[in-house]
Amino acid sequence: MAELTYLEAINAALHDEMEADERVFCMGEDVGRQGGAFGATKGLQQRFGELRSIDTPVAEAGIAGVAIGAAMAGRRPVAEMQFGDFVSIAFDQLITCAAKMHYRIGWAVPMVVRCPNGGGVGGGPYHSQNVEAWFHHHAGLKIVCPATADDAYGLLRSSIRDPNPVVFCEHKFLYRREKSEVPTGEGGELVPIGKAAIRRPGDDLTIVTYASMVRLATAVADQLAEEGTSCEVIDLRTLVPFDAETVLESVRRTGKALVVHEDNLTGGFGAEVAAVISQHAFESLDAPVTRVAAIDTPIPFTPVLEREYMPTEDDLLAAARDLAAY
Amino acid sequence: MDFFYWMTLTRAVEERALNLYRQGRLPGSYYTGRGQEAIAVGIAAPLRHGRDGDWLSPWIRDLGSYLVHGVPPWRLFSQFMGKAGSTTRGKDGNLHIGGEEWNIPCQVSHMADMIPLTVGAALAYRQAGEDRVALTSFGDAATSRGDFHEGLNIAAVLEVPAIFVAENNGWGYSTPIAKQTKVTELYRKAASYGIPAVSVDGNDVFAVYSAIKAAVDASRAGQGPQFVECLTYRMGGHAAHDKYESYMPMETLAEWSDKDPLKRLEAVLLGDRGMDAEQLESVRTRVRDEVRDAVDRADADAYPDAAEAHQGVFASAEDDAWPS
Repeated sequence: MAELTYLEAINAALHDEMEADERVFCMGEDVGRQGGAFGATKGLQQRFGELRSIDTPVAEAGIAGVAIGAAMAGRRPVAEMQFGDFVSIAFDQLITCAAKMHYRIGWAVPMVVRCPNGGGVGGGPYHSQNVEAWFHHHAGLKIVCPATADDAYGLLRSSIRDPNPVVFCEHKFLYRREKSEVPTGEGGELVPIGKAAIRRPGDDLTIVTYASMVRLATAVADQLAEEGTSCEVIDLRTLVPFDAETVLESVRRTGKALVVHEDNLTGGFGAEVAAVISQHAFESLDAPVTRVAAIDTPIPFTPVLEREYMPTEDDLLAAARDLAAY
Repeated sequence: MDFFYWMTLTRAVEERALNLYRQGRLPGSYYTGRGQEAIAVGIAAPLRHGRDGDWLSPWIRDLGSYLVHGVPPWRLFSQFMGKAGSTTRGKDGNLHIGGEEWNIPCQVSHMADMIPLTVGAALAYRQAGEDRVALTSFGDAATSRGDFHEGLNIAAVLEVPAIFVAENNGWGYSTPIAKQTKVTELYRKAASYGIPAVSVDGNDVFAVYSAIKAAVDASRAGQGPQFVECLTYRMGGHAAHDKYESYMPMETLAEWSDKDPLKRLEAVLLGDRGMDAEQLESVRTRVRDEVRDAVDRADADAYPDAAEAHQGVFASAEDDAWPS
């Protein structure tokens, strides 16, 4: 079994789904011959041809709309936003057409929009944003945020097979940093959409997070274990559907919840998690539900500013210690 | 003669619906395509109908295209009334009508959004090696939106069998076309994307039909996207609530009233085609009966159960079948 990076796992998932189902195709800016700005679609055009790995004009609304129409007409499109940031241009198509079509006429829109997401890569305000919270407010879109290479593989395959539009937020910082043994091809495994993973079991404190922050949370859990605090780390994996059950079960046991995301604080998905915990696990709580997130500004470019923007391991550690001591 | 039936039916359904609106029996507002029936009928007639037929994505003025493409009139009235038998089960109103059984996606209110979707359907047919085409219609104001330009450009580059029908009726709500665009000959916009484009008299059903038929045949034969501009006029307000008298020049309305597509068709049928008034009257009688039956059936239709509001946000692998 090969060790794959998160990015290679995405590429392998695309290969395997296109091999398994001739309706699956990729489209986007530079995805064909070039294999994408990051290489996620590398080799697909050479193997499956120009009609299944399509280079498109620079037109994100058009790309999203074309994917919606193709999905309705029986194909399984995987549309790439070159950077997740550019999905702002496609926002109308996803909200207006994709998210409401099944509700209005029962016509499924099985498509995936891949959004290379997140900061920590020196990309500045337009190549670093976390876009997931732009979408969870509106009903009708699934939102998937993998944290590991095997999840990137298994969740992408499940997203392609899902009969609904899926916003797939793959984290750029993890592209080459996350690696694991990922079985592919016939031995490849699907990861179900809507089921959180407990990355680290623990009894004293629950850290609820996803995507890039799972690594930090796990490191913080290691550190706190040495200090005598046992942290449970929950990786949500998907925000819509949200696996509230796993979160509530854990918090009812630990009595303390730290909600963490790289996205900025206000109106982030963490607010929803905190609200659900506060309402449904209120009597189990021994401390206020606490959030750690980025500051409420655009993402600045230069490293010293970007570091100031992002939630750091120290931020998590401090918040976790405060909660443990509460 | 088929044109006469469909155009008469289109007008009769709209007139009846407008009356129902004025009687307070339709929630929301009501939008008509009066004076544009030749386009509504002429764009759908050359298409293959049914689930495995051609994709039709009409805009708000093209009620007749739904009828020609297979949607029964009573479903339209149920839709206007917000009844359970509406194609959206009461979840959307007016001409936001659709369903897989007719291969009609459900249009949205946002101008031009359906253009990229139509390009996507055309791409799907090309990928699958099917000789189906995808057609969408829109008004002149939609050509101001980005999705019009992105959609046409992608269609041209990918060489997909998509047919774009611009209905140039001179108005986007209260804004005349001269304030909408400097290029008021809309077919020139398509030509600038490398798409073969023509402009036809939109009040002449034979002209519309011939141009669309040629475009459909060309697309079906692998010649890529096609564009047809239909010149017409909006014979009233944007919607039933619109006080259009305040901004529309009445003399222009009167001029276009003389060019009414149904009157013109009648003249052709009674003249060159050698039909008599009795034949036309029998069609009108049939249409009256059909519309009455359709309204009766929609009246008898129930409102959806309140639980319906919660249902259908997501598709599941099991619920793919949506009862019609």
